[in-house]
Parts: sequence; C-alpha cells; structure tokens
Amino acid sequence: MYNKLRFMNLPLAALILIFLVLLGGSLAIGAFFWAVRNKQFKDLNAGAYVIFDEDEPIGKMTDNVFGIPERNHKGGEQEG
Amino acid sequence: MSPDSDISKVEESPELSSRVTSDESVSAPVLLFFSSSILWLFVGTILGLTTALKFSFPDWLGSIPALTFGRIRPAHLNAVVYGWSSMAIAACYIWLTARLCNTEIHWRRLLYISAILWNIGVLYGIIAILNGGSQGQEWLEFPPAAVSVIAVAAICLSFSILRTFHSRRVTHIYVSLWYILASVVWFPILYVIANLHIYSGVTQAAVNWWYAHNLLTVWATPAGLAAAYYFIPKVIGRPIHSYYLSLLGFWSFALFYNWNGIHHLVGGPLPTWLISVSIVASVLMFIPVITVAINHHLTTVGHFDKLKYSPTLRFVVFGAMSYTAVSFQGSFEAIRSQSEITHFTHYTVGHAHLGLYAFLTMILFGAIYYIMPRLVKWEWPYPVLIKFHFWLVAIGIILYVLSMNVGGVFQGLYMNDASRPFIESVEVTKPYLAARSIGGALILVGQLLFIFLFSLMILRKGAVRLTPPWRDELEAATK
Repeated sequence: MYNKLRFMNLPLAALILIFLVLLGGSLAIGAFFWAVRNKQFKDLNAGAYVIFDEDEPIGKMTDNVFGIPERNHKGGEQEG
Repeated sequence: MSPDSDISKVEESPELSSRVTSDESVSAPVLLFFSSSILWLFVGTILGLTTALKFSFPDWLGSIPALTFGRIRPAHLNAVVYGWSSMAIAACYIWLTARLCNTEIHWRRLLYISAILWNIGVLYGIIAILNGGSQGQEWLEFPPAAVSVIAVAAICLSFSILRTFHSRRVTHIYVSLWYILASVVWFPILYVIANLHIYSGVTQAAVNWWYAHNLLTVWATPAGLAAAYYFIPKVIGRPIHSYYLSLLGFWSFALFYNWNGIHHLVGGPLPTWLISVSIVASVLMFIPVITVAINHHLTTVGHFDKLKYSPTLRFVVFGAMSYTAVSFQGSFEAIRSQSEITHFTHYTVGHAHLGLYAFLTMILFGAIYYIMPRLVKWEWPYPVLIKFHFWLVAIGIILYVLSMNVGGVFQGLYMNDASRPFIESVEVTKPYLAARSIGGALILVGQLLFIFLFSLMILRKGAVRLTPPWRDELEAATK
C-alpha cells in the first residue's frame, strides 16, 4: 500500500527514514552548537572537577570495601 | 521511601545533602531495575552455558523442542541483552543522571512503569522464542508484541531522564552525562525503526546489522563509558587526566560509530561502497577509542595499588581495559583481509563476549558494587566473596574469549583451505569449545556468589560493616 505513494521513485518508508535521519542529524548538530553557545567547552579543565566536592574531595578514595590504603596518596597528586 | 525527613537533617553540608537527596530519590526504581536485571543475568547465563555445552554434547536436551540449539541460543542472547544489560544500564543511567544533575529524579512513576513493562516484554519475548516464535533476525528475534512493550518502557525511561536533565542544578554537563543523554535520545528511536516490519531482502539484512551494531553505539558503549568516566576518577579521588580528550572522544564517537554496522556484512551481497564506508568508519573508531584508553590509563596510572581496596575500581578498570581490547579487535575484524578468515567463525562469538561481558558487564558489576551501599545504607558483607566473584568471572571470561578467538582463527583457516574437507574445520574447534564451556561455568559460579551477595544487600543481612567514604553520608542521613 505505502509503496504506491512515491516521490523521486522512493517508497514512502524510505522517505520517512530519510526524514528521520535528517532530523536526527540536525538534532545532534543542534546539540553541539547549543553546547558551544552554552559555554560547555569554555573551561575544559574545570569540567573534570565537577564530580568532586568538599565532602568527597580530590585525594579521597570513595570505595574501600576491601580496606583503606595505608598511604592515602603517592606524592604529587594534590594537583586540585 | 520518603527521603524528605532525612534530607532536612543534613542541610549543614550542601554537597553531602544533595548527594543523599539524589541517591534517595532514585533508590526504589534503581533497586527495582537492578534486581530484575540480576534475575535475567541468572536466566541468561544458564541459557548461555546450556548452549555452550551443546557444542560438546550435541544430543543433550535435543528431544525437547524448546531447548534445541536454534531456540536456546537466541533466548540466551535476548535474555542477557534486553534483560540483564539493558535493565542494569537503565538503573545506572537513573542513578548517574540524578547525581550528575545534582537533583532528584523526576517523574519517578514512569520509571516504575518502565521497569515493570521491561520485565513483561523480555519475559514474553523469551517465552515466544523458546516456543518457536522468533522473528529470525539476530538481535531482533522478539515478536512485535514484546518489542512494543519494551519500546514503551524505553521511552518512559528516556522521558524521566530528560525531564531530570531539564531541572538540573549544575551548569557544566559532565562527560558521562553527554553519553547518557545521547543514549536515551537515540535508543528508543533506533529500537523502533529497526523493528518496523517494512524491510525485505538485502535491505532487511542491512537494517538488521545497522541495528545490531548501533545497539552497541547508542546503548551498551555509552553506558559502559559513562560509568567508567564517573567511577574511575570518583573512586580514586583524582580528576580525569584530560577532560579535553574525553569530549573529543565523545564527539568523534558520535560521528563515526553509527556507520560501523555494515562491517558485519563484509563479503555479503551489498553494494561494495556501503561496506567500504563502514570499514573506513570502523578504522576511524581508533580515534575515540585511543582517547578513552589514554584517559582511563593516565587517570589510573600511579594508583593501581588502589585496585586492592575497591571492588568497583577492579571491575571498572578491567572493563575499561577490555573496552580498548574489544575496540581494537573490532576495527581489525572489519578489515577485509582479516574478515576473510575470522568472519562466520567462533572468533566473532569471542569478540561479542569480549564486548558485552568483559567490557560492559564487568563495568556494570563495578557500578552495582558502588551504588548499592548508597541506596540500601548497608555495606557489602563478606568482602572475600566479592574477590572470588571478581577472579572467577575475570578468569572465566578471559578463558572464554581466548579459546573462541584462537579456535575461530583455526576454524576460518581450515574453512578457507579447499584441500581440507569441511568436517576438519569442525573437529579442530572441539577443544576450544570445551574450554569455552569451562570458562562459562566459572562465570556462572562467580555470578552465583554475586547473586548471593546482592540478595544479602537487599535484605540488609550479613556482618555489619562500615567503611569511611560513605559512613559520613550514612550518619548524616540517619542522624
């Protein structure tokens, strides 16, 4: 049935898929430009630090089911 | 599961309280997803081991139609992909999104609906396959009814996560969140499009493998990487080595990976250009893969001693290393000269397990070891069993992958050698298939320990243990 409806010799299903692909592609490109405008790429180094805070700072292990290391850190790690 | 009473008491420390708020708001749906996924892991592993043993004992269970090879093998695949992996991924996404958006999860009811529908869909699909109702396309075996139910479940999950993202209380989108967002936007679309019954002939084959590979692109890989990018730095207590590389990795991943699917049809009756494009994209995958490998390695380097103390780190680092291995292997497999030998052999099966077990499943185990104590406010009992779990499944999967890869190469070489009768290419794989079953049995034993530990966690049974990193949170939340 849908094969009867044609545009440029393409069946309707193909047209729908092409439309979806273009929509998806523009979504991805849109997301990228939104991210640039939103300054997501402004200070890239700072991004790495967002998962740490005062209670779980850099230098603190957060999973110690098997025990706690005697030396919590080897030297030169306090770069934060 | 009312978090409000607890939260008011921890307002002295805003970060702590927000983490507790996030964790508590997701606790019920995440536990529901994790428990379901682990049931499916058990079912799927039993089905898989039975399939493996049938290679050594072909007549075993052969008289029961539902347990014949042609049904039990796709049942295994679908149980571990749509049951175990997908529901565990959903749980990780929910937990990570709430944490990374620094807020409570929104539209929680949708998540309950999603988990229930997901279980119904997979259960119905597996029963249909065992009854002979498979659709006959690899990874797309589920009948339309099961597919519709799972599609609705996936859409519910996506809406809840996107709604939570919309209400985020952070300005910066952490790299894990990029992967999660891309994943929840694309997975339902991909799943629905591939399951439409409008393709035929060669097109159907192309759509089939476009889908099967993109399930890794938009679902399995982003989940594993999102978790690794969160857990490795978080557990060690050290930011990612190069955040710039991590974002370069994400965007190049998004650009190249979705072209890869057609490399499954190298040598197939498709237009050559289509296959060539796919091979080129497969080789370009070296860029995102190397960025991830460099980043994970340089974040962990100097801290490998911490693997001794953290089960999460062990599993996640094992998974991250496997990601590099499986991706390199995949890029080479796509190249025509290697494909001539290894395509259509057991090598591919080894590759699939390197990806979905050694990479994804190990990272999901690591994530569960981290998330569970923070949801049930209980520490893992019997750490020694966790070590057994790790070593059994690690040795099991290494044995599995190595035996399948080596056996597959011999099988391929023998099949290409016109002077040899075909049966020799079967005979040569026998010891490797037996080794694979041993690997599978080790994995099953390891997972039984894991299921035992997980049940103790749900019931909050076992020795009372408190370890520092989250003890503060626990005290704050229950004060």
